[in-house]
Amino acid sequence: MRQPCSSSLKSVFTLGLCLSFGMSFGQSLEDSSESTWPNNFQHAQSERLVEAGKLALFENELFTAERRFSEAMQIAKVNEGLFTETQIPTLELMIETQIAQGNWEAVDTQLEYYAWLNNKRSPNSLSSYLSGIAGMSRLLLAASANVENPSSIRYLIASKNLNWQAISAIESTQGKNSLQLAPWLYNIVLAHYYQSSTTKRRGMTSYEYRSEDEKIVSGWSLRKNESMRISYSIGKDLLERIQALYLNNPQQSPETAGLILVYKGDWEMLFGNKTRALSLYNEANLAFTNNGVEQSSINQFYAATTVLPATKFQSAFEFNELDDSPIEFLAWSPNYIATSSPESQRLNQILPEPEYNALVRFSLDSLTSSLRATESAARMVVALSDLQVLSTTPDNTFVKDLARNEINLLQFRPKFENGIPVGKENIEMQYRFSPGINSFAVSQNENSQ
Amino acid sequence: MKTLSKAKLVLFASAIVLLLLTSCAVEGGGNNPNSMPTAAEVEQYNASVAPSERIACRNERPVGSYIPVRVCFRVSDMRRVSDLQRDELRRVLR
Repeated sequence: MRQPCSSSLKSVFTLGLCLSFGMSFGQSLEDSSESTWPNNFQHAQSERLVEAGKLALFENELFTAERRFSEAMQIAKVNEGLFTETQIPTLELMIETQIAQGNWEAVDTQLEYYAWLNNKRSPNSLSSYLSGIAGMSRLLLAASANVENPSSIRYLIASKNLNWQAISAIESTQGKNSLQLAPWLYNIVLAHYYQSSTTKRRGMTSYEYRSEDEKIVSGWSLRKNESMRISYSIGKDLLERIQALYLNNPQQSPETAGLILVYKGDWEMLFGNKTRALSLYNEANLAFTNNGVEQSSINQFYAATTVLPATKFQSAFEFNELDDSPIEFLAWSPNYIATSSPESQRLNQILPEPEYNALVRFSLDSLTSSLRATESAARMVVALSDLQVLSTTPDNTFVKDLARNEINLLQFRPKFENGIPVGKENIEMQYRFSPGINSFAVSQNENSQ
Repeated sequence: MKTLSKAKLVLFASAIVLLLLTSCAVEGGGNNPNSMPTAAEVEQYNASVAPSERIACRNERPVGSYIPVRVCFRVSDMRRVSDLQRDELRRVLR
């Protein structure tokens, strides 16, 4: 009778001892986790990694930067869910880093992930869906502009397709007459100009460079002329569609009708249809005055030197403050000769600084010339003259010659004063060569020898 | 009377010629659902479908005519026909 009692007391005692040990061990474990084991998935940790990635980018350590951005994205996913939108800015940085490294396979994979993420967004939120499309389109253009990219046109076409997808989304939600369509349509017009400008490049005649398809299908490849004709006709159609969108729209400003005609005139100038261009510029000047736009504002609009194609669609006059400093021109890429960097590309966070710069001075003569006596055959001509290279960085003959060659390829919008084409003298331009022009120019020289 | 009928005949013939010429010059697209799509419409459609489902259009001169006509094909069909013709040619040349 005594034995069982003492044994039960023993067991109670042992259990109590174990419990007290367990509790004290648990307490000490909790203390140590707070002091020595950091939480690797804290939100602040993600921000720290993004900053570390940016610092690595600044020091040109691209591989390290990519790893930091990737880790930051994982933490964002753990904290806020797999589809969180907060990972998108980091994802964009990571793709930009991969583009800079020329890691095209990784770029494709991450862009596919970006597209998947964007499709997961709420279907009711059109604006966030469109901002995702704009982000992807910007990255695709950046990939297309990279001089090391062996299939740059594939990325350009993919970017253009995304703009079409944005248009389809707007049409299905806002209707086919929504003014929201205009900037997207203009982006496609620009993409067609970039596509047609590749014909100016040496060795850019083969099928692979003009298509995004991997395999050659006999009977399908387009000749240079046919490809140019299609680009011209699509651009013209889309500008007409923009015109139709604004027609009878109460939201339009008095300048809108004239401005769209100016864009149409620009398009004809770019494709060498100078008679049609002159007629459209004349129509534009008439539309401005008929809609009550003050002549001084029209003159001020034309006074700005504009390299064609204009990179931004505007439906009303936007005047910058007048100053005497030279106009800035940032050449986009050796892949797209004589084109200004698209607006979206200026948002790139790791856009390398141009290696070469040139300060130049020239005059533009806007005049009408006619091969025949009839007025209907008159053509719009913008001739560049008195080109002087004032200074270059670095200061050598190679950069000076390069500047002369590139500036001679630029096309300008004509200047009108009171509806009459006039010249403009002593225009100073700070010409910033596209990043990567150095290696491109050297390889072109080697090929031609 | 004779002159009038001759003038009518010339007018009728001119109308026929004009009709024939305009029928050759009809562009695709527009509001007619049976007309060929414009290049912009084709591009918008192609942007939203899988690569094999895309269509390609071009102007072709059919045998026996100088007047080009716009023809559109599905890429997968063109690829299949292209492969078939290549195989046939190989078989004949073997």
